[in-house]
Amino acid sequence: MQMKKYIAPVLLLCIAMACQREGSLDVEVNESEDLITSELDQYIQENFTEKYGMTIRYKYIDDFVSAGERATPPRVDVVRPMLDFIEEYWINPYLEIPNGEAFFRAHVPADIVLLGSSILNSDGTETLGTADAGAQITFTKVNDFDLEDEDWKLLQLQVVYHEFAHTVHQLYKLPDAFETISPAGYTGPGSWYVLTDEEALARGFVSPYGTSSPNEDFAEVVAFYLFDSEFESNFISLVDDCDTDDCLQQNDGKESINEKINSIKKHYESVTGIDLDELRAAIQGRL
Amino acid sequence: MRKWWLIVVLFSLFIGCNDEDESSIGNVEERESNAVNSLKEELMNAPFGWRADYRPFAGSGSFLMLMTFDENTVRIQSDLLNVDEGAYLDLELSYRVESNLGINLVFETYGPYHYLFDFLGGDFQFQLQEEANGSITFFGKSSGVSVVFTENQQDESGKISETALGTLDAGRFNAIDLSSASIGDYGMFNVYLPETNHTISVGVDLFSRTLALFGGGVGRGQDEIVASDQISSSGLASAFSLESDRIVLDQSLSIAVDGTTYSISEISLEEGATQSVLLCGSELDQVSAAGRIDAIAFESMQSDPFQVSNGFSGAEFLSSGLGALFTPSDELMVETILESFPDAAGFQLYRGLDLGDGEFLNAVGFVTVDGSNNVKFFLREFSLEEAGNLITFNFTGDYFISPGDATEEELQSLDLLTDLLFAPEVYMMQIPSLFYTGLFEYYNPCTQYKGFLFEN
Repeated sequence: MQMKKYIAPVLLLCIAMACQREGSLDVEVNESEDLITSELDQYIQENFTEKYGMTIRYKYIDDFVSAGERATPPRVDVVRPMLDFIEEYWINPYLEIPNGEAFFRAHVPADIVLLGSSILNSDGTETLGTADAGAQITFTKVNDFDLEDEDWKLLQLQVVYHEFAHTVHQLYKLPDAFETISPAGYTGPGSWYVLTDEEALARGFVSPYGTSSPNEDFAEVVAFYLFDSEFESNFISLVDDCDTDDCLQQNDGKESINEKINSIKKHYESVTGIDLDELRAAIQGRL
Repeated sequence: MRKWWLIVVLFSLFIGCNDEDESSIGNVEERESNAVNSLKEELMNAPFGWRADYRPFAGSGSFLMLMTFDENTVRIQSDLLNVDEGAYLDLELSYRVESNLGINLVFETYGPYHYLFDFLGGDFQFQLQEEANGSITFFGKSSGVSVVFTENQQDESGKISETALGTLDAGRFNAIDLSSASIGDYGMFNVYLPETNHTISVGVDLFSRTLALFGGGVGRGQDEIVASDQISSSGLASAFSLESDRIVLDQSLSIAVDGTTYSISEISLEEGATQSVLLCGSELDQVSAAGRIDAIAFESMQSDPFQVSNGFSGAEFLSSGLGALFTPSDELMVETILESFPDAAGFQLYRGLDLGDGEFLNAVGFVTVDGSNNVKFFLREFSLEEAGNLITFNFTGDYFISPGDATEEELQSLDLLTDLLFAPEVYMMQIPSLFYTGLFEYYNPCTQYKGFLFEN
C-alpha cells in the first residue's frame, strides 16, 4: 500500500518528461525584428550598431511607452536625417575632444529609441525625452524634424545632453556635496512645474525641472551648459547695482549655479577625463 | 485488477506521446509562430492586396485604405488627401505580425493609421479577431474598434477619390485654415439644382468625414436666395465615406424646399474648376463642380461663405479668448487688442440677450479683468439684419459699459476693433464640430478679419 501512493506521481512525471519536445525552447519568436530589411537598416547596422554598439529603434514596439501613455513612431523619411543630426551634434563632439571617444564608446546607451510624437501621459502632460538607467535614450517629436526650427533643435539637444549626463552620476555618483549647494531649493517630482524660470533661477537652478531632485539638477546644469550659447549671461554673470529683492535673489541663485557648474566640471575631469569646456566648445561650434 | 490498471496507464502513456498528437497541437511557441506566419502569409498572398474602410471611432465616417503587403513592408494607399500635403496618399511603411497577448498586426512606422490615431483616436496596432471567406477582422488595441480587411479581387486604386477630394478640400472656408485639426476641416458648399431652381447648403468635413445639411432655399446665389425669402433650415448630419468620387452617406438626409423634398444619400462629383470672384472688393477663390444628388443632376456644387442658414437658435451669448481673432494675414490680434485694453481677457457677442423689462442686448466687445480680479465690460451695441448666414451689424452709437464708464480713447478703440471684425457685415454660422458644441465661425468679406466664437 505504501508503494501505491508513489505510483501516480512518478507516472505523471514520466508522462511530462516523455512529452517534452527536444529543443522546444529554441523556437525564435519575432525573429523578423532583428533582420536587416532595408538600406536604412543596413546603414544603422554599419554606422551605429557595429561602430558604437547602439541599436537604433525606429520601428514601434509597445515597450517604448508605459501603459496609459500614447506615442507614435517616426516617418521613415525623417529617420536618416535624424541619425545624421544625432551623429553631428551628439557623437562627433565627443570624438573630437581628448578622452571623449573612449568615454562615449564605454557609456553610450545600447538602445536609442526614436518616436515621431511626444509621449502623451495619461494625466494629459507630455514627456519630451526619457532615459533608462543608462541603457536607453528616447528622442521624441522626430516627425517635426526641422533644422531651421531652433526650438526643435534645442529640445533634441537638451534631451540628449541631459539624458547622457545621467550616466555620469549613475556610474560615478554626484560631485561631492553637490546636493548641499542649494538644498532649500529642491521641490519634488510632483511640484517642480509650478515654478517659473525666474523662481528656479532665484533658487539656484537653471530650470524648474532641475529642482525636482539633485540628479535632475545635475543633468539640467550639464545640458544647459553644453547647448545654451548664453549660459554665462543667463546663469553666471551677476547683475550690478541690484536694488530689488528679486534681483538680489537671482544673483544669489547665479552664485549657486556657478558653484554647481564648477563642481561638475571638476567631477567630469576627475571621473571621465573629459574637459566639459572643450566639449561645450565642440558643440557650440556646430550651432 | 492491478495488472489491468497498469496496462491502461501504459497505454495512455503511449497514446499521449505519439508523434501525430505532437504535430497537431505543438507547444505554445510553435503554435504562436505558426499563427504569426499564417497571418503574414495570408496578408502577403493577396495579389491585389486588401481593402479596409477604416472608422477610427464608432460613428465616424470612413477612410479608405488599400494595402499590399510584402515581407516586411506594406504599401498603403489612402484617401487622406487633405492632410500633411497628401503625404498619406501612397506610401510604404514597415510592419510586423507578432504574438503578444494575441496575434497582432503592427504598422511600425508613421502612416495614415498613425495620423488617425493622433487626431481621431484610431489605432495602428491591431489584434486578430477572426478570419473568414477572404476577410480578416481585427480590433484596435487602443480603441477596441473593429476593422475588416477584405481581399481585393482586382486593382482598386481607382477607388481613391482624388477628384472629389480635391474639390472638397479646395472649398474650405477661410478661418478653418487657422484652426487646429480638432475643430474640423470644413468646406461650405451650395448645390444648385436647375430643374427646380433650388439651392441646398451643405458643409463637408473631411477631417471626421461628416456631411452637415444646413438648409435649402429658392434661387441661385446669395441675392436671389435672400430675395426669395423661402429658406428652410436643417441641423441634420451624417458620417460618410468616399468612393470613386462619390460621397456616400451612412444615413440618408432629407430637406424640404418650397414643397419639394430632397433625400440625399449620395453625392457624386465631376472634376471641379476654381475661379476667383470679388466679394466686397476682395478676391476669393471658389471651386465648383457639377454632379448628382442621388439621381438628380445638379449644375454646380460651389464653395461659398454664404449659406442659407446660420445655426442661431434664439438669443445667444457667444464668447472666445483673444487667441481666436485673426487679421487678414492670419496673424493673431492679441497684441493689438492689449495695446488698447491691457486687461482684456475675452471677446463677447450678445445677440438678443433678455435684460428684463422688455429690453434686449445686442452688443459686441471685450471683457477685462484687472489684477484685483475686477471685471469690466466694454460692449458696443448694434441692431441686426440676418440673411442666411450673412449678418449685417448696424452699430447704434450706444455702448454697454459696466461697471462705470469708458474713456473717449477706450470707446474709439472699441469702435476701431469691432469695425475691423464686424463692419459692415460678416458671414457667421455654427459649424458642427466633432469636438465642440456651439462653435461659430465668422469671416468679414470686406476687411477679411475672421475668427471663432463659442456658445455659452
